[in-house]
Amino acid sequence: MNKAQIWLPVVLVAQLLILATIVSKHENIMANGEVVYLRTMPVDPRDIFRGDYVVLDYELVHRAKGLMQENNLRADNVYLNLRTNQRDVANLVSVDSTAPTLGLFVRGFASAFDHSYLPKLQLGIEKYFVEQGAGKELEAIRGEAQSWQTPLEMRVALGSDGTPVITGHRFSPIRTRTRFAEQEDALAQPDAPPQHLEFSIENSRLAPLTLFDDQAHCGFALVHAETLRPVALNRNCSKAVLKRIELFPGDRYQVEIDLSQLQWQAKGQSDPLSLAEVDRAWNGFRLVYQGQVDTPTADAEQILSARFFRRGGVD
Amino acid sequence: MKNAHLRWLQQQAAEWRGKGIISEQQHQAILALYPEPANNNWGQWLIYAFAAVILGLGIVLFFAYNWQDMHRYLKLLVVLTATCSVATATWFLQRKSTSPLADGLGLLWSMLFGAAIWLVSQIYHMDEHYPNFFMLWGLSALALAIILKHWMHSLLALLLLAVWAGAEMWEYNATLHPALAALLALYVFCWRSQPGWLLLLSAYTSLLMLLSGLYNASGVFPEMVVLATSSLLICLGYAKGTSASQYQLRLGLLYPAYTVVLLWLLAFGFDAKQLGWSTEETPAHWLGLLACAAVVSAFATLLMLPDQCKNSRLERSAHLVLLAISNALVLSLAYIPRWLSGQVLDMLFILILVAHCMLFIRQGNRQQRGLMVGCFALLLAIVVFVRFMDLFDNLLLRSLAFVLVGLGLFLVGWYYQRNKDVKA
Repeated sequence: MNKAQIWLPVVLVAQLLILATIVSKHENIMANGEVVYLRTMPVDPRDIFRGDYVVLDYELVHRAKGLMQENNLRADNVYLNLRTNQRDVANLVSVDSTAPTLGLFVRGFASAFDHSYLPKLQLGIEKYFVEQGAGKELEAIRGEAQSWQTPLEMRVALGSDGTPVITGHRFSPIRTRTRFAEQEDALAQPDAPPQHLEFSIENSRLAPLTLFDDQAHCGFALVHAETLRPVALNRNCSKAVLKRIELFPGDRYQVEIDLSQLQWQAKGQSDPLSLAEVDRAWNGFRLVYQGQVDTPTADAEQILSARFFRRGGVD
Repeated sequence: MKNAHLRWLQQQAAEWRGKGIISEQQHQAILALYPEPANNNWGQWLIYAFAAVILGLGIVLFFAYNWQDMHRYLKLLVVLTATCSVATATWFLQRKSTSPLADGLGLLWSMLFGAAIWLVSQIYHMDEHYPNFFMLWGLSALALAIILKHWMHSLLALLLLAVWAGAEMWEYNATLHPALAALLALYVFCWRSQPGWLLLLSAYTSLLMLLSGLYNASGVFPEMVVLATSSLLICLGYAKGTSASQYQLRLGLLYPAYTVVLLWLLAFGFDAKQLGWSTEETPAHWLGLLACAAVVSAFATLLMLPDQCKNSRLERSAHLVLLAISNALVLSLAYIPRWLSGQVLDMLFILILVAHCMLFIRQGNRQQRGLMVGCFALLLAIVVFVRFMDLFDNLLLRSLAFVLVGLGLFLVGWYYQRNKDVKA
C-alpha cells in the first residue's frame, strides 16, 4: 500500500468532519436556540456560487453602530443585548465587548471601520438564500422607494454563544410610505430642496395598533440614516402631552413635516439648509416613531421611515 | 526528450530506413534509445481536467438554484454521497497506477468538496467572513495536491489559496495572515515536485500577497521589499536550476520585471525610494527583516551548491554581486545621510541597471538569443537617453549621445553576428 492510499481516506475523513461540525452546530441552534425576529431593509443581488439571495440590512445593527460610536467601543467581537416586544421582534438594549451571562443576545463582528469611521458591524446572517426568482417576489412585497413598503422580519435562532441562524422570514404587519409632498419637477426653483415630507403608517394586522403623537409630532424623531441616532433639533418635546391614536386594521396615520420650519433644523443653526450640511456628512435621515417621549421602552413598536435626503430623494 | 523531438526523430529514422541509410535493426535500435516518456498524454489529462472542473461547477450551480422543495438533509445527502463515491473511485484507481482518469476524478473530488461547502453555507444562510470557505476548500485541494502530486491539483490549490489570500489582503486589509503560510507551503511543494511554470506562478502569487500584506502594514508601497523578495526568488531560482534552460524558464518573467521595473523606479523615481518598513517594530519591519534573512540564506545556499552550469558561472556570479549591492544599498537606506540619498543613489542604481543590461546582452550573445540581446540593448539606449537628455542643454552634446548610443547598438549587433558565425 503506497502513501497515497493511506492519506486519501484521511483527507476524506477530515473533509467530512469539517462539514459535520458546521452542520451539527447550526442544526443544534435551529433545534434548541431561542427564536426572535429581526427587522430588516433588504435588496436583491445574486451570488455566483450560491444563487439568488436577499441582502439583509438589520435595523438593530444600525442602532448598534451608533451606540458603539457614541461609547467609543472597539472590539472584533461584540454582543448585542436584545429585548423582544409583544410580536417577538428584537430591539437593541445595549452593546458590549464581552458576552453577557444572562439574557438574550446576538454576537456580531466589527473588525474594521468605514469611511465615516463607523464600525463595519456584521452578524454573519446578512444573506438570505432563496430559490432562483423568489428574491424578486420578496422585493415586490417589500415595495419600492416612495411607495408602500413592508419590512421583512427574519426569524432567527440564537445559540448559547450568540451565534444567529436564520430559520425563516415573515413580513411586518405595519406598512409605511415615505415621500416628499412636492414633485421635484414642480418645485418653484429647480435647485431648491423639497420641504414637505410625508410619512404614512398603515396597520395591516388583525389587532389594533396604538400610536402616541401630537401636533408637533413629538412622537417621532429625526435620526441619522446610518446610526439611527437622533439629530439634535431646535425643539423641546420633553413636556409634550401625546395624544393616543388607535389604528384599527386597515387604518392609516399620516405625518407631514415641514422641514423648512425652525423646529426641524439642526440645533444651533438657523440656516434653513442646515440639515443639508448634516445630510452630506451622514448619508441621509430617517424618521422614526418612538412612542411616548418620557417612557421609551425596548418593548415598544419602533417604526422606521425609508431613508431620505434633505436635498431631495427617497431610497 | 520532448514529444515534438521524438516525433521528428521517428519521422527522420523512417526516412533514413526508406532510403537505405540504416537497416531495420538499426532503426529499431535508435528508437529504443529514446523511449516515449510514461504518462505524457497531456491531451487526455486536459480532457479529464476540463471534465472534472466543468462537472464540478455544474453541480455547484445545480445546488445554487436552491430548490425549495428539496429538504436540506436530502441536499446534504446527495452532495456528500457524490463526494464519498468520487473519493472512493479515486482511491481505487490510485491503487493500480497513476492515470489521467484517476487524477481527473481527484480533481472532481476537490470540486465536490467545494460544492459541499457552498451548499452548507447556503442552507444555513451563512455570511460570516466568506474567505473562510475558500480556506477550507483551498487547504483540502492542497492536501490532495501533495498526496496525488499532479499539477492539476496544485493549480486548483493555487487558485483557491490565491482567492483566500487575496480576499484577506485586499478586502479585509490583513497583514501577516495564515493564508501566506499556506501559499508558502504550496510554493515549497511546487519546488520539490512540480513543473517550473507552476513554481513560477506560485512564486508570483506568494510575492503579490506578501507585498499586499506589507502595503496594508506600512501604508506605502514597499518597493524596497519588492527588491529584496525579488532578489530572494532569483537567488532561489539559481539554486534550484539544474541547467541554463531550466532556470531561464523559471526566471524568464521575473528578471525583466526586476531589472526593468524596479531598478527603473530606483534609478529615476526618487520619490519611490521610500522605506518599505520603518525601524519601529511593526509587522512590516519584521517581514522586511525576514526577507533580508532569506536573501542572506539564499546566497549562502548558493555558495555551497556545486557548479551546475559552467558556461553561465560568470553571469550568475555577476548577477548575484549586483543583487547583493542593490540589496545592501536598499537595506541601508534608513541609515544613509539625507545629503547622500539624492543623485548619488540615483547614479548608483543607474549603474546597476546598466550593468544588468550588459550582462543580459552578453548572456544573450553567448546563448544566441536575439530577442534578449535586442531588448536589453534597447533598454540600455533608453536608460542613456532618459538619464542624459535632461542633463545636456547643448545640442552638440545631445547629438554626441545619439551617436554614441547608435554606435554602441551597432557594436552589439556586430558582436552578436560574429558569435553566430563562429558557432556556425
